[in-house]
Amino acid sequence: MSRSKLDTLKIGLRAQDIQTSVQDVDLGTLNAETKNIRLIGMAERLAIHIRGADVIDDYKKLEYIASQFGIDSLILPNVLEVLQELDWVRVEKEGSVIRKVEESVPYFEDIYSTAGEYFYNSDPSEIEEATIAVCDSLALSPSTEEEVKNEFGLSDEAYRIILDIGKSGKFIDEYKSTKTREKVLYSPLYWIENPEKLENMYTLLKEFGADHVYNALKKIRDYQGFPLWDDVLKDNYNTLEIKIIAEAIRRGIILAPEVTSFNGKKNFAFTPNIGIPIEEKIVLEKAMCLLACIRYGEHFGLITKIKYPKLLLDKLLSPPYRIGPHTEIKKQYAILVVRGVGKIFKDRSYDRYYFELIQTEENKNAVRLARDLLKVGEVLEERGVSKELQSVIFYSGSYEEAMRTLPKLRKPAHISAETLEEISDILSDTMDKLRGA
Amino acid sequence: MNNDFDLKIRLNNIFWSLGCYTRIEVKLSEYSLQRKIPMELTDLDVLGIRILPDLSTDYLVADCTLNKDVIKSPIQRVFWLKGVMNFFGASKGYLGLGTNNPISETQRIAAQRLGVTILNENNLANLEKRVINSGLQLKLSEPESWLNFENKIASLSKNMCPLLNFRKYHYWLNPSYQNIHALIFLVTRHNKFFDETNRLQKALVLDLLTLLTLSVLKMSEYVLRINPENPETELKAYLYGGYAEMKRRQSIVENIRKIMEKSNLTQGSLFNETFKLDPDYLPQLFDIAFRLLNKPFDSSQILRYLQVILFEKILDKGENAEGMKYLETGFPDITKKLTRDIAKFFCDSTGISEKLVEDLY
Repeated sequence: MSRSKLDTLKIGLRAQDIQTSVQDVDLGTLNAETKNIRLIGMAERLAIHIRGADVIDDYKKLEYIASQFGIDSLILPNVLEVLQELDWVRVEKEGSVIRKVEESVPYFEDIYSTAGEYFYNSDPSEIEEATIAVCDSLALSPSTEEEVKNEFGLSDEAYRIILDIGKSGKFIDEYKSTKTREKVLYSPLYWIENPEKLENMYTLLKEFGADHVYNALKKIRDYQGFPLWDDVLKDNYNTLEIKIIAEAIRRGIILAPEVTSFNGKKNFAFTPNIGIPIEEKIVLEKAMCLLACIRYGEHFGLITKIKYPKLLLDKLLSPPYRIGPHTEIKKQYAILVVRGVGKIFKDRSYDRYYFELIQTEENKNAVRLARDLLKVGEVLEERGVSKELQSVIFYSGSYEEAMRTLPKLRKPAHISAETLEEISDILSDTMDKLRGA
Repeated sequence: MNNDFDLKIRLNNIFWSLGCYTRIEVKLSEYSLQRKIPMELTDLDVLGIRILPDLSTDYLVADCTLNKDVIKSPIQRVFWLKGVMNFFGASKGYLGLGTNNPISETQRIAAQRLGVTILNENNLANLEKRVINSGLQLKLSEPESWLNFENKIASLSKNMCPLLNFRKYHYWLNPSYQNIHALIFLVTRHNKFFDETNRLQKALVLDLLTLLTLSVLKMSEYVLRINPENPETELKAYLYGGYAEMKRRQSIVENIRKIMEKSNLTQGSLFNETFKLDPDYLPQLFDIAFRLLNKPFDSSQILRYLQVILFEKILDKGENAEGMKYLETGFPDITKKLTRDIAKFFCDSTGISEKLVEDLY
């Protein structure tokens, strides 16, 4: 496969997507081709639903809950075995009868990466790996049949099997261009069938090539709220990716809300399909505006720049649900006032302003979603989970990790292994002292 | 057995019956800058720690004496005890006197105003009748068990000295938030000295686990009061001694990072792996703390469950049938499960063998 190897987080997410899609479908002979994916998907879904239960002493109840996710009671012990190997449950048995299940599904660790890692180690078939890779690729961007085959090095037979699985579960579908009748593959989970948008996408794929379009969209998904410098929208492009982004904005494929403050008008790009149900579109719009305002402060702030965007979003979720005071808030967050996300008020003594969240459930969800977008680039919230279940924990790192890797571009000095060890000891000691040892 | 030890055990049993986790002869000390060791100031004969169902902590302290001068006029000792109570944040104090002499009403009233109850032998016997469930015989109610535990544990090899000192002095000297990392750090540093077949070392591990649990419970209580709906931020702020302190430490790390980067000393993954303020165990710790605050009633029993495990299963090797039955039926399943969660976290974060806590399974 020419596209970079999938990270474990994406594998975990896609395994769940696929299992959810195929749970009520009789795959017949294709069952065997998806067994590891389905097992991991089942384990993830069961895990997020039992998280917080601590002790489940009514196994019948567990069987009932599991059955809602397509986990037959005959399969349930296998799923529990996976969960046990992941250290997320302890199963207490009397003979062969399961008496009690103690649950320890992590709240503050990314369960999808752990599950994805488990998938890698479970000896998946090539078809399974390719199914996940194709599903992930199409979640980000539709592609032509030819490109999919080429990019993932699929034989006709493998391609047919993956397409059969995808079509059966309705997580892969085909669209025929009205102009050329060429087939475009897309994921209905992420790309709602909108002929106009898909036709626009097809034109873009033809013009620039699926691989380049994929890379451009990936750039944005990996950094949602991607700041667009003025020249991007004025046909002045440094790279092909930026040109594709500009073109995609023009065609309405990429959304780019505008924020105005002391540094003028700026746009911030978002991929449109992040796995949020269409009925929650308003929450997505609010979340994008929130993140765009914060990105403005991060990249274009005049007085001071925002260094810890997540911290600001966290502040909006706890009393007094407020950020500031800062001089630029009044202009920078104005679009949020218009959208009913919050209010702006002046500091008593200085010419500085606070932004305060209006505490409706919708606004809080928008802040949480903005936090997801900031960290992972798509919704992590489990599909089909009842609202009562605990809030999801998000992958820590992508943004911070990206920033940390930047200095690596500089040529490092040569330092001996002994010196490095010495430095490492000093650092460890310093860190322990700072932690309070 | 020293003369007032019997009194201490009787107060210990009263505190246990009142729903406390108990410790006997807790040292109060202050760190000496000159000698760089904790200097013992005084000790607390009996400490009762009661975790309420809202996770708030109630401390009960007792001083026990046979001293004739004190018995003659206990009010001066009451004033001293009040000072100890303040030092410890205890709401209630008991002064146990090994005498049947009557106590003047004036002194009793003055003591009561200070939150202290004076008990002579007669009062003590009546209080025992009122609060102690005479049907239940646990090993932790016997003086021999306590003396056996403290004497044997003090005889552990020299390698264990820092850990023994920690449980004896430092833990009670440190602010609670600091104890979490301090304990994990110390046990990690000494993990190679543990022998999973040594019962006494198992007892020490369980005692350290109990202290860690107490600190994590305090962390959970803090978040429960501040904002349980945004636990991650609050848990982290607590661990570093408050939000401002957390920011200060983060900025120190950031500054060092900048210096290192400018000096081109950041090569390789070693730098990124080592140079971070948050310890690797943080997500797991947050998980435990969050689970405790979500089940406050069950969490409030963990310390007592650990204490019964220590005395019945580890020290007495499960020979007291009544104690073993109490372990089986006296605690909710969720309490037991949460205890195992904390034990697993303790082992994972310190690198000690899970066999050292196998008595919890």
